[in-house]
Amino acid sequence: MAMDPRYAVYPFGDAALIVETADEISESSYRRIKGLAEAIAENPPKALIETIPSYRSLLVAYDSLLADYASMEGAILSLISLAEASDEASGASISETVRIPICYKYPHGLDLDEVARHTGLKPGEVVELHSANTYLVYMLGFTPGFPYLGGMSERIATPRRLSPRTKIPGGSVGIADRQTGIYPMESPGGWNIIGRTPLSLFDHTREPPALLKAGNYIRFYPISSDEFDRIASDVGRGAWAPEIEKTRRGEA
Amino acid sequence: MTEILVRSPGLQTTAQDLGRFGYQSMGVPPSGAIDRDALETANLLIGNPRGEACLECVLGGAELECEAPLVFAVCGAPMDLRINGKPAPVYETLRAKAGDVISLGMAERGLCAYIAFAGGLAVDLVLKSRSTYARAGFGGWQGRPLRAGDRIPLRERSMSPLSRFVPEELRPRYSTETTLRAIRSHEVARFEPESVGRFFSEPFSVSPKSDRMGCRLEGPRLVHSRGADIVSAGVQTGTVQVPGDGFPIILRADRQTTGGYTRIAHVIQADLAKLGQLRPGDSVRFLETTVEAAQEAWKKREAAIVGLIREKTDQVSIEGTRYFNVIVNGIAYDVTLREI
Repeated sequence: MAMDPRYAVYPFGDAALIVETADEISESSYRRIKGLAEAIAENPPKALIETIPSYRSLLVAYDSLLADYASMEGAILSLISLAEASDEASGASISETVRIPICYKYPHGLDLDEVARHTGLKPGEVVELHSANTYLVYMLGFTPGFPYLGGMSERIATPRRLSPRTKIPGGSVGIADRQTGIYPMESPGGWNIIGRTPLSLFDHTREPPALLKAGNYIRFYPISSDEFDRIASDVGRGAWAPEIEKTRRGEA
Repeated sequence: MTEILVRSPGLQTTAQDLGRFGYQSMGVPPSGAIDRDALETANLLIGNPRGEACLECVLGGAELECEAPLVFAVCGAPMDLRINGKPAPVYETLRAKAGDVISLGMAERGLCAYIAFAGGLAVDLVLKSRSTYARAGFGGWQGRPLRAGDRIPLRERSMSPLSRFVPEELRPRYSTETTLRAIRSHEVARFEPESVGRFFSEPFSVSPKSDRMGCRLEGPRLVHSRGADIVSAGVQTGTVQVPGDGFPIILRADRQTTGGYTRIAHVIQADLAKLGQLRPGDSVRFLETTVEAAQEAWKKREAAIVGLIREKTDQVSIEGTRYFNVIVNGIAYDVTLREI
């Protein structure tokens, strides 16, 4: 089969292969990773174990007792063609945007003043810029449920703290250089914490356990400390469903 | 319910099975036994399904008290196994009475031993696996390594009177010098060619900073040709990544699901058990192989593991009931025949 020049497929050890896209990291090139992951999920080859999407690659783990490399590569190349054909036919894909409440007030936003000082903005302007954009979840990793997000305004970029904190509460939202992210569970970390969401990003007793998945979009919206407590209590009782908007993206 | 009382957990003892798959896209590591050959062998010796959850004891020192009669087996790194202070054989079906104390001395070589109990550990499935992932506090026994005083429940199972063993000459040999077969990474061109040559020819030493996440190596410093960092991407157990300091890290079961360091090679599936048993101070070399040869080696391992098991007797007859052991399509079954 002729290889689509926009993709490259390589063995990744003897139980996985990796598909890389030729482009630089961007939302539009990420569409290929997401499209292929979806095509594989809808038509899983018999030997498939699972896929791991990332910025510009998709790792495909398979059971080598059920398929050798050549046959797995063939199956994936067919799925690449299928994903490209359906993408071209529809010209767009459905995207989910998850709305995430954040309390930017102290003590949740421990370093909001520091970010304001560094960027020369007022704390309210930092909050406004952080909650104005739509972010793309390129991948989950680092710890279970941790989203790697793209789309933050460069005006609020702030370097990591010189000395990392040993304990950051789960749900904390941070900025490190030009990235923003959410700590799913209590962990050490050096990001500047500007707020906290009462939502649980990862819960091993839930199916699926992660609130987000690679390819989702998210939007943050500010809430008061009282709303934080109310939502946290609803989340604790399992009585909170996040708001998800479905939109078509990529239409000309 | 049958329980075992943990008198001492030793250095680190956790419940592990073959791992947690299907959640890596959400950042959940596979976890599971770092030597699945030893885990599967221990299960086969007592008639459990091959992937049943066992106790993984790192470097030994564990002491367990049986609160009811039970059948068990110990495989993996050689440790001084004793029942009530008397030496007992590893790689063999063993029986303990209520009140018996099973103890493991420190491993002479290798890193971990597995204790399989007939019936398996009665710990809950979390995301389809009984493996402990201590870093996030879930799976296994309360999401953490065992502590003195814990009572671990076992699932009830009718006990087969059959006794099995693995002959001495078929048991894995743990050495302080190990060779791991590895496949070149597609990112190998991001290293100086001379460094790739050194990686596949010179010995490395296992660093004391190694754990269930990764085996860190010291030795020749590998040189990147285009920087150490890549755009974060998925990884596998056995992936060898090289951070900016030039010293390789081989990823083990509790690894993260993605990584941002350049990959030089991948240890093959058939050698992951050996990787799991590497301990600080061991010497390790990498031997280059191909995907085809590696997949062939994994097929052979799959066929060989059931073949390790021998019956002390092919059939046992007790009070009119006859017991057989039958292997069909690689799965061992206890068969009980009773006259009616």
